[in-house]
Amino acid sequence: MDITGSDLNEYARDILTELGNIGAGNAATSLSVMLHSKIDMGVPEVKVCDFDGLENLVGNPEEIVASVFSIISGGFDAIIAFLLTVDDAKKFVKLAFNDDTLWNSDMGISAINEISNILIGSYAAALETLTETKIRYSLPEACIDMAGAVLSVPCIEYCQMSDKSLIISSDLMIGDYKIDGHLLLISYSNSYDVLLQKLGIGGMNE
Amino acid sequence: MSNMIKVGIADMKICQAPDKITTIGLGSCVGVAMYDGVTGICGLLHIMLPDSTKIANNSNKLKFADTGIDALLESVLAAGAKESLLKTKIAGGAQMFNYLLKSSVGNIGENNVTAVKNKLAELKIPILAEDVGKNFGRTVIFDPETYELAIVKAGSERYVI
Repeated sequence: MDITGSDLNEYARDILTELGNIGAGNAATSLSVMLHSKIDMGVPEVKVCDFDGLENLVGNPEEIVASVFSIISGGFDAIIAFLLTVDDAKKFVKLAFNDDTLWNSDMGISAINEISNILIGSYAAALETLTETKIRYSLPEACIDMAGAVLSVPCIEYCQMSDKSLIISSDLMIGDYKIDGHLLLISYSNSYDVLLQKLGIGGMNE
Repeated sequence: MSNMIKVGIADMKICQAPDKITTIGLGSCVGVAMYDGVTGICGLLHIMLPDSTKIANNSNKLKFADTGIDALLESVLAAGAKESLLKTKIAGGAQMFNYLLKSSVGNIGENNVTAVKNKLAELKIPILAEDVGKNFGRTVIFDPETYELAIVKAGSERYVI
């Protein structure tokens, strides 16, 4: 099945939404256990978009975000990313480590990296189970900068393969603390083809 | 009234005073402002990759330093700029992550900057100012009235080149 903007059919969209649900659900459970806090999860959004769409994914491309990226390989290529606004990242680190000063120390980035490592690992584990494929994910790396600048990284990587990226975006919300995180699976159209095949709906045409 | 013209990723636009032209959130990408220092006709290009000849998926010319700068030159000339008066200012080409994706694309920011400089040297168009490399994103705003390229870093630190 060739997926472009127009022919990502409803069936494929449903399957990818469900994949996002299970991946992010797994991550939310890990986070909930870690924080002893209730986590709400939005319905994942599946988007096919071009470069500008990716840049605007979390709203204003000039918004400063704390982002953590990890590369998925083994069977299909994707990036799992966790993004928060800087204000939310501060609250998040404070909540997770019960330490007010951590964010402003050298440990701040390590702290957000560590939590994201667990989220990304949980998401990847769900992908692994669903696709019955051995998945490797790189050590996550954090970057705090403008959303547009950090999201241009997957853009550059994937625009070499395709003009369209495919994104499954899930929101994790820690309601009691008004923290809103975005967990993203980003890939390009050809790679999602492989992903869909592994989920057992390959070779299907409209 | 002056307008702010927005240039997206792998995009280019032409601008004349009193309007200004901007591109937001340059990471490893490079922004090239090309202007005629007399008439103030200018164009801003936002490229993502160094070399169109190394990639099969190269139909969008504005994605690459080589074909993008050719298109930029063509457009500013078509808008009435004089080739002998053209100058450029460039910004971007940061390395946002230290090791992520390094194996596959190397330091893409550095490669982009090198490719832009090589292409401009080939066309004999001078680069009057640059703010490139390092590890932070940049928003750039070019003002064709003053020929200043303003750089805004995350956290709102701002300077002009």
